[in-house]
Parts: sequence; C-alpha cells; structure tokens
Amino acid sequence: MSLSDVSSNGNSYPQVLKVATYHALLSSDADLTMPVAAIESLVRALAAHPTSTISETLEYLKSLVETLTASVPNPISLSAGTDLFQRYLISSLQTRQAGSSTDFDMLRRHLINNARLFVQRAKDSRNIIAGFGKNFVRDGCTVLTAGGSRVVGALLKESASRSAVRFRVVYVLGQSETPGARPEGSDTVDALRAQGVPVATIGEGAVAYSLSQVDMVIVGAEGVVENGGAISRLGTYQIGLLAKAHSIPFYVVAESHKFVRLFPLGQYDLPIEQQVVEFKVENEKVVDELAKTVDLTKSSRGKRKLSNGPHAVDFTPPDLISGIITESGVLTPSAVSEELIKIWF
Amino acid sequence: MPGKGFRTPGLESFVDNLDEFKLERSTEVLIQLLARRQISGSKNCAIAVAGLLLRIVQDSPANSVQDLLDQVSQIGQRLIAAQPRELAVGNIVRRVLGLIREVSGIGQDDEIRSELSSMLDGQDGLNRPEMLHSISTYSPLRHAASEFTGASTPESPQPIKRPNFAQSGYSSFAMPSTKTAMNLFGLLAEPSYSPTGTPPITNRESPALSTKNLNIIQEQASIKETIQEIGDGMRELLDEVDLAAEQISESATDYINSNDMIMAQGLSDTTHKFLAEAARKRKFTVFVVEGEPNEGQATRNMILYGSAKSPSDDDGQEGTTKRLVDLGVNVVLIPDSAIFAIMSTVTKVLLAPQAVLANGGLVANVGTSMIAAAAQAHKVPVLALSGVYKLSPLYPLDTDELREIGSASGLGGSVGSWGKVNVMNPMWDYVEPEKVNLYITNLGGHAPSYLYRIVADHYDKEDINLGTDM
Repeated sequence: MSLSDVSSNGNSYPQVLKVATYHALLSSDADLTMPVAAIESLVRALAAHPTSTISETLEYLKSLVETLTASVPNPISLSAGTDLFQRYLISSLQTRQAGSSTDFDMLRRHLINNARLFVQRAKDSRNIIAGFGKNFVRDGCTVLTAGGSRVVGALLKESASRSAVRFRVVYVLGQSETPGARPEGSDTVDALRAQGVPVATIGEGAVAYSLSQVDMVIVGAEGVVENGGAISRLGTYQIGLLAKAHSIPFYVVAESHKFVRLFPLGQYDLPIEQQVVEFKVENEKVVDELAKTVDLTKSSRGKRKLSNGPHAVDFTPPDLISGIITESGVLTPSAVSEELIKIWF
Repeated sequence: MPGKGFRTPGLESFVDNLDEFKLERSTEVLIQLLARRQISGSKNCAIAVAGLLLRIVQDSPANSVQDLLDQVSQIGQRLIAAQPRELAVGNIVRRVLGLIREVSGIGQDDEIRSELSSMLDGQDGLNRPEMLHSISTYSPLRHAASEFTGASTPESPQPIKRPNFAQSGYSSFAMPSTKTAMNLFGLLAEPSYSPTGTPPITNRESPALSTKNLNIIQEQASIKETIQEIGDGMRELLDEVDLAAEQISESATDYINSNDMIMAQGLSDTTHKFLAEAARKRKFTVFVVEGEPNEGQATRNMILYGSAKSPSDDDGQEGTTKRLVDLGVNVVLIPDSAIFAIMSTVTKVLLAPQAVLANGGLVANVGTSMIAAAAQAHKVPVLALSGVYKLSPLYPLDTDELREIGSASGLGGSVGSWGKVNVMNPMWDYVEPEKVNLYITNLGGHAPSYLYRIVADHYDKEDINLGTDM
C-alpha cells in the first residue's frame, strides 16, 4: 500500500487508515521521528477530509488524535507532535480574524502543501544539533552513550568527522528486540568504528564499572517533559544516577519538537502502564488474572498497558541532567517549561 | 595632567589619553595593556573596552552600519585575542555589536518575527510572565529606553520586546548560519521565512509594525542619527558597568540579616559596597578570606583603608569609601587555610566572580572553589555578586581553557632561591553551577539555572562566536 493511496482516499477517510498512515510513514523512513510522523499523518488526514469550519476541523483533529494515540503502546512521543500541531492550529486561528474563511483556507493550504517541508525541517534540526553537540566532544575525551537515538548517532558521527578531535565511545548496548537480531545502536557502533573511532560496547550492567573512564554521557530522548526531565529508553535513568554519583556531565540530546507537556513526578507517573516490575509466585495464573483486573482499572484512568519489551521507557529527572542540547542551543532543564508555556498559554 | 609621562600605564592613563591619540594607536595601546595585564579585573577591562569602542563608533568613517559592525567586530576580535581570559572584554564587544544591530535594525527581522510570534500566541509583551519584566525592560540592547534607569526603577510601560529565544544558543562554537528561532512552532511555520522558526504571515500587518519598518528604513537612511543613538546606548552601557556595584548593593538588606556570620571571598569593590550598604541597617560579622597570593594585598588594603590600593602607593588615592569597621561591621580577616575551619560558624558566603558563564558556573580568584566546596559541605548558602557585564555567553565546554598561571613572585622569596623546585600560581578557579545558590546582579537575584535567559536577553546570537573562529 503506497502512501499516496492512503491520502487520496477522498471524503470518507477511515480513521483506521489514518493509523496505518502513521505506521507506514514511520517504517518507510528510518530517519523520521514519532512526533513528526504524527504531524505528517495529521496533515494527510486533513488534506483528505475537507472541512469548512474551524470548530469542525478541531473536532475532527481531536478524534484523529484520539484514535492515533489509542493505536500505539507508548503515545508520549507521538503526543508531542499532535499537541504541537493542534496548538499551532488553534493559536494561528486565534490571531486571525474570527470568521474569516479565507484565512482559514490559507492556513489549511499552508499546512497541506508543506508537509514535506516540516519533515525536512525536523531532519535538518538533527544536523544542527549534531553541529552544536560536536563541540561538546573534546579532544581526548571518552563519551558514554546508550540506546539507538539517531540524533546521538548523528552527533557522534559529526564529531568523528572532525580531524582535530580524537575521542572514544563507550556504547551501552541493551538486549536485542528479537533473539538473533542486533541490539539497538549497533549500526551507529559500526559507523563510528568505520570512521576510526574506538568504540567499546558494554552491557547495561557494566555502566558503573566503566564510568571512571568516561568524561561525559550523551543520551537521546523520546520526550523531554515540562520540568526538564527526559523520557528515554529504559536504563537511561540509572545511567543518569550513576553519572551524577561520579560527577560526570550528563547531556540529553533532543529536537525541540520532542518537548511534551507532561509533568511526571516519578517513574510510575507516566501516562503509560509498563509491566517492568512484575511480581510472580509459583502459581502464575492467579497473578496474571490479578494483573488483568488491575489493568482494567488502570486503563479506565487513561493509562495504557505496555508490556516489558524493548520499548519500555523510564524518566530521568531534571536534577540529573546537565544540559539539553536542542537545535536552538544548549538549554538548562528549567528552560523547557518556558518553551512549552510559550505555546500553550 | 601632571607627570603624565611617568604614570604607570593602566586604566586611568588609557582613558585620559583616549581622546588625544589616534584610533589605531589607542587600539594598540589597549591591546598591549590588556595583554600585559596592566588593565585587569572585569570592571576595568569593561570600561576600557567600552571607552575605546565608543570612540570608534563616534569617529567612524563608516558610511553604512555594516561597515561599522565589521569595524567593531574586527577590533573586538583583536581585543579578545589580546586577553582571552578576561571574558568581560568579549562581553562588552558582543553587547556593542548587539546594540549596533538593534539600533540600526539589522537583523531586526528576527525581532519582528518574534513580535509576530507573540501575536500568534495571542499575547503581547505586557502579558508576558511577570518574571521577565525586570529583565527585558532593562535590557541594554533596548535602545528605546534612552534614559538610564536604575534596577529599582519600576517597570517601564512600554511593551516588552523580548529578544528572540534563539539567542540562547550560547556556546563557544559556530552557530548555524540559518537562524533557528527558538519557537516550538518553528517546525510548522510558513515556508516564506524558511527555514527559520516563524509564525505564519498575517496579511494584515499591525499598523505599529509597519511604522516600525518605516522607522528602520529612515534610520538606515541617516547613519549619523544611528551612530548618535548607538553612542547613547554605549554610554548607557558604560553607566551600567560603572553603577553595577551600587545597584547590586541596593538589595543588600534583603540578603543580609542581623547577626549573620558572612564569609566573603576577598573584599572586592562590589562586595565592599554590598556589605557597607547592609551595615547601615544591620549588625553582622564578616570573615574576609585573604585570597593570597594574588588578591591578598588588595584585600588587606580594602579592610585597612577602604581602597584596594594603600595611600602610600604612588598612584593610590585616599579611600573615598568608608572602611567596613567604621560602619560598625565586625570584620575578621582569615587566611585561606582557615576556610574550612571557620565555615561551620558561617551563615552565608559571598563570592565575587571575575566572570559568570552561561551555564551558571563562575570563574573567580583561586581558592573560590575551596570556599564553595566547604560551603556545600556545611550546607551554607552561597551568593555570588556580579554585574550583568560579567555574564558571558560562553559555555564552559572545557574548563582547562580557563587555566592561567600567574607570577610566582608572591609565593615566598625570590625565585632564584628555589633552585629546581617548581613554584606554581594558578590564577582562577571554576565553580560549578551546583555550588552556587544565587546570583545577585544589577537586575536582581537569579538562580544559576536562570542565567541562560539573561544571556538570551543581552547578547545577539550572531555575536556569540566572536573571536573563537579566528
């Protein structure tokens, strides 16, 4: 199913296809981030569904977003994109003259015509971040990183291309998703080694052991939350804690479209339900059923179940983060809320 | 001026001669003075650099603002290169460049955009969160506030033009040439302004905006007027540097309580004024850390005479300020080695940084890191007193770059007698942001994590890499 088939589906645009668009987009372009894929699929849906009034559009968008978030196990990153899109639409419309249909049409046309541009900008911002971030990697230093973040990969590759800088990388590789497959981040390791950068790959258990050799930690993030903390692959939090204990700077690299309006107070305050800590006794069936009932109550509170898998995430609180490297500079964690406030209020 | 030829070269002789010498000569002289550390200390450097740049702007044969910018940035880079560790030099050059841009309207696009963006957000400057007010209205980049207003002046009624957030992209490295305005909407913006983060165009531009555009065009038409205005702005900047210590001291009673036991890192002009102001209403004890070997003499003179130079010095003048002891402060001079021993009795620590960095860290006389560490160990709050002119947009990517080794002559006896022993006198300490609780600037008190915002308000993003790409 090609993407154009999906978007040219005419008036009766089934919401299921909307979800399919999102997944198709994500799988078709390895460089696409979840928020941007979400934005693009919203744009496509908007293009296929002619709406004439503002409130109709917003209602339609709302239902689309709901379907979309319901369709993925972990909607945090995705919601950064959909929130951004909705806020953009609402605040653009607010500043235009009420009831002026031409303005609305213009805005609509702008969004529909420029979907590719948005994607391109999102990708460009990764290169910009790599441009910034490479200056953090100094000659003779050792960088520890983890996970399969593309922007961290871009940053390290960019640093490696600077001939005056020699550095080493300690890459924490987790377990692979499926048995036999290579773990996340292996491609980056290969690429760096090909560029002549000495890379050591270690398991998650060896982080503390290796930290005394490390000068800085750079990790990616799925979402950056309001208090400046980062939601990232499971295991990032412990690296943050260990880095703090060793007084090693801990940098989070993320595009600013990953800023998401959440204020988690702890690991279990995320809008997803992860079965990471699962207590079991010998008679597992009982516990399973118990878990199911717990699950039902949870989902009625808007949380979603996410099995313990490679996609599990954790929350790194802001006090562990030295700086957030975005495409517009190095921010302190406290700057994130200001940016979010700017678009929401 | 009697005996001009015999005076030790320094800030005073430089400022006095500034109008007499040719521009190139003055520049050379300042470069020499900075390189030889005959002008040192962030305030002196700031005043000297601002004085020279003011003269450059006034005498400029430039017939376009771009020429002026080029000229200033060229000389600025030479000055920075002469003494890269006096970050105040770079700060002043950057602020002057920002001022020129702001007055002339070059790069104003950004500002118009950010204004549009605030329109887009459905809020004008006045609806901005309260905390930004005192800063933005006071930003020296805002030539609109043509009168110099003290920090305690109530907020000006003008709408706040908040500088583009993109400026907070601080770090000592090349920024991308395309300006990425920090606005989360940047991703979705209309392509006509591409690739910057911009809100969609409204086809009804507000009248205020178009008159502003018009103004810019007119301003560009008359370079003379612009230069006049830049000169005014620079005089404000000079005033700001000059008055920073006093403005900081205005809030002294907010931070110092009666019966406080304060540990002061040396007794700089700023610290002295701050304590003196507090002494008018409060009784407290101050432990002054001597700061040997680099600052010891100045600290002792400050305690004894109320001036960094003793009256017996050739060029020392009578201390115009009253000594702290005369103001009823219980002054205790302690050697650097006693810092940890005394810290347990201390309730507050005052630091006097030489430079403040964008991440909230600071650079100060050697020994400061020890004070901060001792304070942290005893959970004593650490306050740093610093004028905004000391706040540098640089990010300490490599603190080793700040290392400077001073003369070893202050370390016991003549150098010859040491034979093969190496004697080392490092000048500066870097203190991490975690070790500082509060910065008290001429704009008020700020947490270290908030300094990025003040950087964004005071520096133009384009100027941040000045001198680093040479």
